[in-house]
Amino acid sequence: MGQMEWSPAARRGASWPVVSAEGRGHERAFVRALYEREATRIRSTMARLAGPGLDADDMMQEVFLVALRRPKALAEARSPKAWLYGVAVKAARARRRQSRLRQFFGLEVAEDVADPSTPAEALERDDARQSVWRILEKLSERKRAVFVLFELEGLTGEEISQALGCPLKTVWSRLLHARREFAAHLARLQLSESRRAA
Amino acid sequence: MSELVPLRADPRPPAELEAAAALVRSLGREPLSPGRRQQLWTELVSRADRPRPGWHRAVWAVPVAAALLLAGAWVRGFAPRPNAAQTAAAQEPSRVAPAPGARYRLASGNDRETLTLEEGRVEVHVRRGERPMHVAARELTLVVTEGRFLTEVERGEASVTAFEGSVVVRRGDKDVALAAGESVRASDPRLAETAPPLQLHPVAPLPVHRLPAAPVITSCPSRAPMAERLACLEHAAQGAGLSAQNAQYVMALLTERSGDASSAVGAWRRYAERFPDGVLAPEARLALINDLVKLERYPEALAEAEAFLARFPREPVGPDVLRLTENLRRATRLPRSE
Repeated sequence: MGQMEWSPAARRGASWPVVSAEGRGHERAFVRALYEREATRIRSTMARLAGPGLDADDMMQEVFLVALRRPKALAEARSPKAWLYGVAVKAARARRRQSRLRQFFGLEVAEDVADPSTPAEALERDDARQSVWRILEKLSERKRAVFVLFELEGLTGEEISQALGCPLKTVWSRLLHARREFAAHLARLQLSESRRAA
Repeated sequence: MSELVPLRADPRPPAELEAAAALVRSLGREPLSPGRRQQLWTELVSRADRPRPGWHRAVWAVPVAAALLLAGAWVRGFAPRPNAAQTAAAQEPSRVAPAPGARYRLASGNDRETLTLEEGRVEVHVRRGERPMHVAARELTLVVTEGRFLTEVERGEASVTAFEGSVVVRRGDKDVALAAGESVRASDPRLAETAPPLQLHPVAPLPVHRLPAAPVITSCPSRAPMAERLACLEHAAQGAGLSAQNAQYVMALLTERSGDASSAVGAWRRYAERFPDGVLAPEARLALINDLVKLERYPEALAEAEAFLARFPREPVGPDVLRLTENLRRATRLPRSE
């Protein structure tokens, strides 16, 4: 893993030398390596968790900003990748909450997603992103997070368990329910499309 | 629960999930170009190096303070508010409010007010920090330093009802503490007297005037000096018969009158031991009991009194001796002997 060998997992239990410039350089190099490897997926995850109306680049930066500012927490994490995704889930939740609040006070215009009356056109435009988001939006926060991380971002059950801070069995349970609900909402969407086509 | 396979990688997903798997597979990920990625990293590093504004912590203080204020207002809004009567009562000074027809006397002392209620009802409110109120209603007495209560005498019976604060009602040596809303009557079992009030300490000796007059007929000269007279009596007491009894009795009496009660006790004891059925035996024992009481030798006095009652049950001073034994029992805290 190159620089990832300098993994904090090997340093667990040791104090983190953050005072020296050299130490700071090591931290930054480590975060940079994580950034190079995970930036695209984190950005995609943020977009899927927070919704298409929010700036995915900004949210991705926010996640890595936390990593740069909290090197000790990152160092003590069993899996840096899971830690990053945990931060991403929390950041996305906070962003959604802020967005709803701003919309409530009229400070932010709601995202003008595709017209619900034309889901077939949305699918035909290969805009699967929006269709998926429309379904994901109907899931609860917890189920959506598990579904996105497992099905769309390819994290393992253990990584999701560490990222969300919940038992592995809970992850599988939430995933099963999320799949059923996802499939049900998709079926409704397709039924609506077929009726319109008829 | 076994590990699940992602729909994207599952070649044969369950039938109900086939459509979902197809949709997930069709989903692409927006690529992030190397140039854009580098640009975002540079921005990220500059954001990380930028000193964090100190007020970001204070920002949290605003909603927290607002929440605390709201919570305080909410709690205050739901707290029970005093009604008009309570508010008025809280602002009123100490007062005595007699009902029509009440007969009472109100006296002002140096450190307290005294209310003596003879008939009817009187409501008293004593404010904290003001002079306490001493109330006497028939056999009930109470002293109140703070509170509001109603005292009543109706058909010869007194009662007290507490409205606010706490009131201690006393009858004789019994007392009952009343909390707000409670009341007590003089006939309440909690205030019932179990025994007549007795003088506990010091123990009063037997009334001397009820003792029979002591005969002083002896063969010894009554006008001789005391030492000579006592020596004569001592000699006479060695003998037998009535003259010996008289000599021993007069010797003890003279010793007692000289003020030496301790020696007199010894002389009376000698009489009781030598002449248990003597003519003056009851008088000698009563004098012995009296001298023991004077010396505050209560256990011995009690033993002698009980022995007297057992031996001379028909003596006219019996009730006095009985009363004295009860008194002595309380003083010595000894249980009643069967």
